Amino acid sequence: MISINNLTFNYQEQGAFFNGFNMKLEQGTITGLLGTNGAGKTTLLKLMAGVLSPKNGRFKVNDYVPFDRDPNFLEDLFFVPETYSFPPISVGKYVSIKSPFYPQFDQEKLSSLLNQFDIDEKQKLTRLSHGSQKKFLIAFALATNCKLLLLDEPTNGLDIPSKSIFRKVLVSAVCDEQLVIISTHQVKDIDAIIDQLVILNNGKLLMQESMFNISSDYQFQRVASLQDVPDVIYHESYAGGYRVMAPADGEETDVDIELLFNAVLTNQSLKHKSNNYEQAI
Amino acid sequence: MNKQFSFKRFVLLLKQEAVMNNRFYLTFFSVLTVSCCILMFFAISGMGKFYDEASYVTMMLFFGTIGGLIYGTSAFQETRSSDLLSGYLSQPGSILEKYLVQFAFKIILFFPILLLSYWIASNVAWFAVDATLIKLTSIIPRFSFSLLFDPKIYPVLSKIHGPLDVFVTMLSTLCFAFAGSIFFDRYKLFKTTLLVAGLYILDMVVKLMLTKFYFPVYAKGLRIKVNEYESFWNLYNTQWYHYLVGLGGALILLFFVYYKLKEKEA
Repeated sequence: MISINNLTFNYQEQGAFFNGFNMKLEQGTITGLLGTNGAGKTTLLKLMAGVLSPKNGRFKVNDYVPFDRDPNFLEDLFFVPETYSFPPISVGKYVSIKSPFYPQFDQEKLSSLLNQFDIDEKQKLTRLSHGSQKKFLIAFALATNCKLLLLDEPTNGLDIPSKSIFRKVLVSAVCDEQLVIISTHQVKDIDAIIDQLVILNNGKLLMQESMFNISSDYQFQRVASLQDVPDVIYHESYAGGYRVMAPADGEETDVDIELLFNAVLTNQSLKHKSNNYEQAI
Repeated sequence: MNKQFSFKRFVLLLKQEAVMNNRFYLTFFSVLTVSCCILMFFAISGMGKFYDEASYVTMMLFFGTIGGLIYGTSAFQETRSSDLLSGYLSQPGSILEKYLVQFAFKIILFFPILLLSYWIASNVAWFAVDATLIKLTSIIPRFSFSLLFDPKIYPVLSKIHGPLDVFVTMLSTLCFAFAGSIFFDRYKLFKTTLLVAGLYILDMVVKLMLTKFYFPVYAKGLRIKVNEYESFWNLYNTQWYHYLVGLGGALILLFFVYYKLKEKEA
């Protein structure tokens, strides 16, 4: 669905940001895109959405070159940016003028999602709180049923109950033909819903792995002493002990994405594994 | 569906522009009408019997040019911020359709807005002066659209030979402003005004140099002499020059606006 080969991209007056970048993503997954500030998450999403132009390399999304901005490509893609602004019209009016652009748009699904997010269609968009605006945009994006959904920091600005609803609706609203890419710093908000993880750093792909493989390969525990776990790959202290990442020993544990992320950023052996993966693509 | 142009998508984009920016169009119309009305009230009452039919054309040219600069630079509103631009560029629709929507709203729609606004403003101003200060009935006629096409009023105006001159001046200004809206990322109106003023000054400088070269006897200080004669199609040579520079330049810019939009990034 998304195939990136030897991508080079740089902003004006800056050196190459992505240089020889490769990645391949298939439909039917919810992918978490993680990285530190400036790692290239938003840039990558914008390149996928066709709002930025790569300098070099082959970049295909759904067999289209994104920057060609073919209308048939755009009607099967929805990009929820981190920041946005709305015209001073009602939710219902916005839906009535925007939804016809998306052939697979599902009005019933939207009504159900708005209901779950507690948003009234008669409300003016500009009078909604920032969090409610974001909830509306997410609901609209899901209702378009686009094959590719790009969500940039979707949980920023959402309150705790809304984050929980977001996770619930996302899992229930996405089908096998879709690919959802969620870029975020808030790893705890997405750890239960993603089935693939991509970690970027300074425009480089550090890791791309399914959650199934991660949980098969590694175990994540909280222990009182490091002596309790042989072969510790990475650990962080917390009040009362240590959060530990270690090779799997047959028993599956929940993936601690934050710990894994920090491990990947600091652990050379994990980086090597990911680099080999990238080269294989 | 055609990837370059689909009538259905074009209509949807037109509808979207009308719904999302209707407040801007209403505000522009109201502000133009009110400011035009106030200025005309003072012009008519101040000039009295010296305000003639030709003055209506001069005033329209003035409001059409200033209004056109403001209105034209408001095109491609979404390019003003990267937040809006991402949404605009990823909105389903071809570049051609998005361009034509802006062309329809920011170039074509301007003229009905201007004419209606000017008709209301001039008649309100006329009635206001007539009712409060001077009885105008026998001195100045009320403005009507037919007046614009009356050839008798044009010879008294310098450099304006007919309604086509007025239209071309306003259209070329509007097109320059339309181009400025996408070429400049910030301070679009200010930069476009500077550009238009710069081109006008360049035009004056060229004419001044030609005057000094061809008519050294007349060339004193900043005096410009143009040898005016009737050329083909019953148009003066100065009109041809005006149309070529104004409209030709505008057409080239309109062409580049499309490519600038195509290459736009957020």
